[in-house]
Amino acid sequence: MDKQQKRMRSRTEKIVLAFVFVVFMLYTISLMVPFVWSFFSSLKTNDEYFEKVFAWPRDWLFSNYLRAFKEFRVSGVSFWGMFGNSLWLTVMGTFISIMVTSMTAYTIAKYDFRGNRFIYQLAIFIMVIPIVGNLPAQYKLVMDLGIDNPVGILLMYTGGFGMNFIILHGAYRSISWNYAEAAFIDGASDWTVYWRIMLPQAMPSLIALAILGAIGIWNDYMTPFLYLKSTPTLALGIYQFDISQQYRSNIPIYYCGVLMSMLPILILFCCMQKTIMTNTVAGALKG
Amino acid sequence: MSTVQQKVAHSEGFRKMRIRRTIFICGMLSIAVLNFLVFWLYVNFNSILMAFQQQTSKGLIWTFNNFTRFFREVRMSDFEIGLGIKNSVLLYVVGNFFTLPLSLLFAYYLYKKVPLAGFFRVIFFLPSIISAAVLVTVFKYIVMPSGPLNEFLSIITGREIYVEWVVDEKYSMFTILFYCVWTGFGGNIVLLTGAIYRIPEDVMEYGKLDGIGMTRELINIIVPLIWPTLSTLLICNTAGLFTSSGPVLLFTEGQYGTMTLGYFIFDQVQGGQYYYPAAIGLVFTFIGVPLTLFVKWLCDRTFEDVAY
Repeated sequence: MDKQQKRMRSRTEKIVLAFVFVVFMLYTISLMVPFVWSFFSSLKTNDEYFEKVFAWPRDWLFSNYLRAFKEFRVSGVSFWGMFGNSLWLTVMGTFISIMVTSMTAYTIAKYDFRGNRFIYQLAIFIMVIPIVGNLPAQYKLVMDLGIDNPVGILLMYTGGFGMNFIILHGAYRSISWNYAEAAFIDGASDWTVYWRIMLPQAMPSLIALAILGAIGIWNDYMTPFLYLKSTPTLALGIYQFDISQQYRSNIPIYYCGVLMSMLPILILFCCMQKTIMTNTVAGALKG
Repeated sequence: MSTVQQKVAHSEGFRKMRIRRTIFICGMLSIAVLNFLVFWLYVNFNSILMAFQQQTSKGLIWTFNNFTRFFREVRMSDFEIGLGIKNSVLLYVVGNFFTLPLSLLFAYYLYKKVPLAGFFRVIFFLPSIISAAVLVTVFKYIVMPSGPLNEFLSIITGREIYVEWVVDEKYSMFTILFYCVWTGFGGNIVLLTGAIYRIPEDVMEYGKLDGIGMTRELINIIVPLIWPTLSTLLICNTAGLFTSSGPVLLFTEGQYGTMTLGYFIFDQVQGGQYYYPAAIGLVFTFIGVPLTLFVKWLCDRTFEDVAY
């Protein structure tokens, strides 16, 4: 290829990249504008909100945020109540789910026993097979067991398989067994080896999965919608607040609640951004 | 101690260790296995049974009624189930054949170091971490009849625009599809750039030395190398074709012509109906399982697995 051709090519590349840059910028703006607009709207009075959609707030009513703590109520539960419910479900659900998955993945990855291969295949099988419409049966089971409360529902998070299982299985596989051998010779029990030697080494993967899991549970509105109606979480609260017409009377206050419900996740995301970004790679499903 | 005694003591110790290890393995797996037995095996088994049951005044009876009802209603236009299937397929097609290729294209340009690439990657991730409840709410207020979108369009066109984007049947499904593209796009890009960044530098360098252009680099080098990620996305989308309800609950609760199959089942359960949706589920499991396996088979054969 001669030089001229090369120069031509790099020029087209530059033009394409410039075009893409503009498209990305527009997309970014489209993502930001709704939130910026919501923020300004949250500082208005209700009348002002309806009068002029694009105007700046007349008086910047930061007091709306204080009012939201009092007035953002769903089925008799206050903002802080919903915040607490979200926090409980997120922390406990994430912890339980990651712990159970870690134990399962570790045992399958590191111990050779009859049925080992079968369980691994099964884990992949249940991930790929789409079962449609088992919701009625699941709903009935939850109701029959009477676990439709913030404590009982944690049982639903004790699943040890799924995508996280595959990722952790890979992580434990790649950790050397030498330290474990040495510890066994020194008389350590299986549990000690797992807890003191192997678990700490898998910590980076565990933390990344825990953050993503926590974000998922915090944002999940389906599970609380079905099973935790009387103890709404923030995600459910936002939805219910939106549909209950009577609250429409003050939309700026509603915006305050919506924006505040995002804060914990945004803070977590900002602090852990590197960990999250480097670990979000959907791996292959090998069966 | 004689050698015999030693051997006995040794094998005794070995036996004890084996028992301890078995107990450890069982203990470690017990929670996951129990969960699987109850929340997967029992639930799905019972789901199949429920498809053949019906609650009558005389109690629970075994019947094929749920299926005959389904095959009758699916053909009638005044029942929502047909519409639900159509919309589910529509969401799937748009997600797989529009959002995904476009995401791949943009992920590639992000990799080619568009200015501010790092910043864009972080921003594009936001729709995946912000609650759908929040996103949909904000989106709904933006497109509200008296909201900023109509206001903006009125200013641009110079005439009064008053479109009910969410509740007018003409636009509602389009609005939901637009929302899905708008938010789905970002998450895909992050996953795909993650995969592209993992491709070793020297593989890309070979391509450059051969003097290939951007299009060929994308199609001949990158797509095969990130195929595991792409095919995982395709397979997961296919598996979710009939199960995921989309953001329909948050947007319209299935009204204004936006019913999806997943939401239809969800809605029935909310209304206290268990047996009919279980039968619908069974029918679509029979369609969905072969379809998913077929897509997986197709994906596995498109490119050979590459290890790098």
